[in-house]
Amino acid sequence: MARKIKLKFDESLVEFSLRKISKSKIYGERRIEYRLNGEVLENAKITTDGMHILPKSSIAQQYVNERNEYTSISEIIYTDPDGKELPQYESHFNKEIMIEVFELSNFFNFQTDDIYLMEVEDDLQSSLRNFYEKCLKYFNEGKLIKTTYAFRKTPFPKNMVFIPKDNKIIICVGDFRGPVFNESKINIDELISQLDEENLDEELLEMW
Amino acid sequence: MKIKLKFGDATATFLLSPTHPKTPHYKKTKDGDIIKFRRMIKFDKSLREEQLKKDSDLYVKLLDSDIEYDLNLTGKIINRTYRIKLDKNFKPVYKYEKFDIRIKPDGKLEERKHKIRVSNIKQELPVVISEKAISYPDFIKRYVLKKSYNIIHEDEGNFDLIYNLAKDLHEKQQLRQIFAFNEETLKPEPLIITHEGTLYNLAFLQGIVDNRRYCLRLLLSDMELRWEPKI
Repeated sequence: MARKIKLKFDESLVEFSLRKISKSKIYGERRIEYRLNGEVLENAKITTDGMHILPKSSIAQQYVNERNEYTSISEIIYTDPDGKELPQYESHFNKEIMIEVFELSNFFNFQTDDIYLMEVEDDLQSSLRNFYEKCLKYFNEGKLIKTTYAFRKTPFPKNMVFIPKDNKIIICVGDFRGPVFNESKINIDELISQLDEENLDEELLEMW
Repeated sequence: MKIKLKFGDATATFLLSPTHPKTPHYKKTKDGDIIKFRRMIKFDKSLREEQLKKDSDLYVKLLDSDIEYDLNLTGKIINRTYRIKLDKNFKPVYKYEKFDIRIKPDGKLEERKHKIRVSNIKQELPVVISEKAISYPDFIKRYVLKKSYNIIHEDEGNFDLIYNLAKDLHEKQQLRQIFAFNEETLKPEPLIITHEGTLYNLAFLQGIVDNRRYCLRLLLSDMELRWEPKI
């Protein structure tokens, strides 16, 4: 079984792992093949100077500093555009994570990257059932449960949203962003009210 | 990006902006050096050719072989590259045919000539807002919300149109389904936002209003919320 995540709710603890739900296993897979006279062609890259033809897996990627020296990920500090250091979140595998309840309507601030099925060991099925019932109770009240998702230490943690369905819990992993409101820059009603002004005709007829 | 929407009798074009843009950030070292992610060459086709000539037991032969990396080349930093196709002799091919290969869940393989996915959100035929509506809990239990965009008015004359739609959806706490049409067959088809982009089989509108401000979102889904049987 995969690595376990410890989730604390009320006074209980549920230890679970994630099984990825793959779209290709449900609906099948689609890919594009390039052919010349029936022969399947290979994808490759060519440098802009045309000097090097680079077949698959011939390019490495690396973090480097200003002197093009290798830099380890552990040495990197993440900052915002103002230069302020961003806090790092510990991996969810290294600690007990807490749940957070939110309104169902706020789910639409969320965008899913991956979906998983919540799985527990056979002897811990009762804890999963308790958690499912809790999720379902909240869902019927118009609420959902979420928690932080950080596979490894990161300044950009994601969220896990727990959705109860058919006695299983589906976990959507993704990101929340608040709504962006838009408004009219011009008050059309105010413009219309100007049309009633008495001297409007004179103003419109005035040649400048 | 723009989307052409049909509201009842009116048709108007609106701006589309992603709801989840990447968080702007920089990477630095403790000393203040700026860190960049760079691509480097490991080997080019000349070495690959030598490797592939050994057709069987490639892994074992590679271990025993005296193939050496070109030290003048390995580690060379590259910036931009172009995608090309190579034949079995590692020669670039510029004229080729594209095929769509589909492997069904039962393992059956289907193929057809590649069909270009043309964006269908700003074509002659507008995207139609249907009367089909779904409640918030129904959507959450049935579909995976894969991508969303903010729909923003561009023309001040369309403000009332979009504001009233958002207000209606907000008050009813519903999502309205929208459909794009194929210009040749005139049949509904999945939404394609970008050229050769993902097919979104399900598209809905969600609205929120706050005084005279609105937030109208295009919610896109390409799969149902279900799981494959465990084998």
